[in-house]
Amino acid sequence: MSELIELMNLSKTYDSKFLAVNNVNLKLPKGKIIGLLGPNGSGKTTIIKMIAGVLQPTEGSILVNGNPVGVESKAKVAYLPDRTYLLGGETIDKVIKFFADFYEDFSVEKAYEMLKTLDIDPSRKIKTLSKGTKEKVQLILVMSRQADLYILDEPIAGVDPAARDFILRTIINNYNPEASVLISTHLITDVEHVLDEVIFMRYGHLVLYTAVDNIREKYGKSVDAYFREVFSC
Amino acid sequence: MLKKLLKHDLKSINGVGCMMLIVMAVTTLFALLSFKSPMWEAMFSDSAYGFKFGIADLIGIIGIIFYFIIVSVMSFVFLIFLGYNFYRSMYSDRGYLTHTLPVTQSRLFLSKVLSGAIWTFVINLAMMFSFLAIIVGIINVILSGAGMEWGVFWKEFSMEWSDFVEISRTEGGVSIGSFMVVLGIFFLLSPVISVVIMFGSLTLGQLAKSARAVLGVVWYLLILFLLMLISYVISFISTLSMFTSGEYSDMMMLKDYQYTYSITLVVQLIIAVVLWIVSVKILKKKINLH
Repeated sequence: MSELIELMNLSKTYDSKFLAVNNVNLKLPKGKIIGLLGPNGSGKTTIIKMIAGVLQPTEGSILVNGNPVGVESKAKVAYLPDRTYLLGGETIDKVIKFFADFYEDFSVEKAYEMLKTLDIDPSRKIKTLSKGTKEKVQLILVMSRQADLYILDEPIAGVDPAARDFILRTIINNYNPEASVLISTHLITDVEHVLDEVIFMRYGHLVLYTAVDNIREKYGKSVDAYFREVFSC
Repeated sequence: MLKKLLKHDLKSINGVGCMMLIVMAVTTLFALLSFKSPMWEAMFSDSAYGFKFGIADLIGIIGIIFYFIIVSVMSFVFLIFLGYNFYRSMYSDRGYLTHTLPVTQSRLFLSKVLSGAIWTFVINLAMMFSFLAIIVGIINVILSGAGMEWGVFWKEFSMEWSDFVEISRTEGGVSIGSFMVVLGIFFLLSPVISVVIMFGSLTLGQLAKSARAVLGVVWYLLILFLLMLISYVISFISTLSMFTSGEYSDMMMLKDYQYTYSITLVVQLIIAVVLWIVSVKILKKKINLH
């Protein structure tokens, strides 16, 4: 089986009215970095949350490595949400121990190595870190796992360009080559060079799923330029 | 995985739990020292002539008042903390980590309940020992005022207790032993029940589209009100049936209490079990983090 994620007739409705994700069918392969792109409110985060298991689909189903979302899938999915789940009172050391306790694929050495590279003191409490540093710590925790699937929701939003470079380098250098990375972002120019495939979403619908090279060859444009054309107001 | 969950859940409570125990120990000690003030000695001795209320007595009274305030709010404050801690780890931003751990939702809930119940039990136990220390302190003041030895008091108390046990059996139809067993079971199970009701209510709040925390608190208050109502109704029916049967006596009240405690415990257990099942079902099928 080459598919890592399979979304079948996936829909999500909020408040019985607003259709955030509308009947999406998608199969994503292993070993690719895939960009989940779309304007605000297109359903990117909703899809990611459903794959991670923090949101329940209204209709349809999700398979990760052939398993429905549950204990087995969560053991193989490394998820970076679009918010901080670290508590202010805990130290980075404590969070690393927490991850090491629960995720068999978590590498403590790798986490400390990355922290050292970034000159972040692991004995510091989370509340003493800047917003950008918190995001970096969270990314380090996620990328220190040897997961089958990395889901990164807006990993470069809200950080300076230098930090963006670091984050993207961290993703490329640390992800398991057998695994896939699903990156949701609207900062396309910054991520374009690392992507193998892209998914375009609009109003909860899947607009396009294709290889980045295909866009370049077929339309003679960068992903960013083509995105602007597709989503022009 | 349950062991690991429990370890981390206990860690998240340890700080506040230990602080509660320290506060309880200090206030108990302070209250016990308050009994050393001249006022208490004067109150229970025959030679109170010439006693003047001084600063030591004022501090003593403050110590006792402070103790009773602390003791009366401690359990409630701790339960509120447990509710806050549960909500934060399950349904706030931290939930994005909690619900993506490779553990089943039922284990997640079980671990939260066990850690909360263990600490509630410890706090209750500490309160019981604190009450015991205060009672011993009061008796000590009375005995020293009356010039009585502890040995003599204990001998008299044992005799009175034996009489009480006998009278309660013959007149009240209640075995003190079985009454204590009911109280013991109540003491053991009440931490689990109170924690499940709190956590279950907060989980029920997650079914709302907005203001989920507020709705969780509303659910909690509603369930507490329902339990109180049921308890009053049971107590009323029990007392009324004794009055109408013409068997009522002071000793019969014990039987009344035992009956009310037993039925209330069973009702609370049923509600806790239902809430537990519903909570796990919500966690499995309905969880939608904002």
